[in-house]
Amino acid sequence: MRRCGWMMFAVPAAVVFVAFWLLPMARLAGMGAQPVEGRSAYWVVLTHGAYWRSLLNTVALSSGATVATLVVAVPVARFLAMRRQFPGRGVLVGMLTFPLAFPGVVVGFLVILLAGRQGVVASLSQAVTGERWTFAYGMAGLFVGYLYFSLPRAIGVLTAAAEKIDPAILEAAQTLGARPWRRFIDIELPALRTALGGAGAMSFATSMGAFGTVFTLGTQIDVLPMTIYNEFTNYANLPVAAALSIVLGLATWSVLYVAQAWAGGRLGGAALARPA
Amino acid sequence: MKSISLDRSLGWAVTLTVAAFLIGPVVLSVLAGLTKNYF
Repeated sequence: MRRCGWMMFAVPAAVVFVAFWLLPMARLAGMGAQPVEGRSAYWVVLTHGAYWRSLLNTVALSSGATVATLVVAVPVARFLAMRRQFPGRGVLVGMLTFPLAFPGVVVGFLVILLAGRQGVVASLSQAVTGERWTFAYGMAGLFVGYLYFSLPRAIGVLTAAAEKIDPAILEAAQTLGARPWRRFIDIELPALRTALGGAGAMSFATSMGAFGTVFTLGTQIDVLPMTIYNEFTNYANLPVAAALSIVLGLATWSVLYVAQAWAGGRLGGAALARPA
Repeated sequence: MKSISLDRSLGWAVTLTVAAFLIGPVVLSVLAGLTKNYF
């Protein structure tokens, strides 16, 4: 009877898991094994330099955006955690978290407004140097877009973690003569380690899979989501699109696994969302 | 004491710069809607 009750609770979870994860993933993996020009699509993907270049571009860009996000977000999080009350704090936090509401397409549009042909950077550079500087439609624009997308999320996670650091420990270290840099390295950074892993993993995974921003900025940008889109829609090459999707998923999962191992947490969404 | 002041000043500078980076394009978007067609 007790076993039957357990089964009643387990069956809906198993049905949802099979229907919404196992079957689509099995279908995707199976489609990637179908032959293209006499060879498996996985073999085609792993032996063509163009696909490797696309994957490396995606990993490098996402890694760079993640590192830049964390480097910028940590001082902001420390500042907000140390100064809990000052006039205009609510407005400032609102400005820092406002872009959370934007989808990738809107982020791409904002990057064009900033650094596109008619953007503010182009107008300013023409006034100063006589040349119009534009960087919205390539990797640099995508980097800015990913940074724009990731910063509010990282700041939120890191601020919550930084607020949990006991000020008494920092004051004690200061009393004992520890310099600010020493206090940051020995006390704050270890305390933020789990949050850094979570924020970094979130930023990296978002950047690896971001499609709306890439599509808005230009279809010639050589990153994996765009390559999958081109294979799927322009060339109707479903096996290669499926194989690339599996490769993208595995590459992202591998990096997240390493990040979580470094942060001392376990792999999975719960670990990513777990407060420090 | 001087280092704490520097720490706070840097905190202010970085936070305000990031806030300007995040909200600046939104302001540009509003202005673009009011004035001209950017494309």
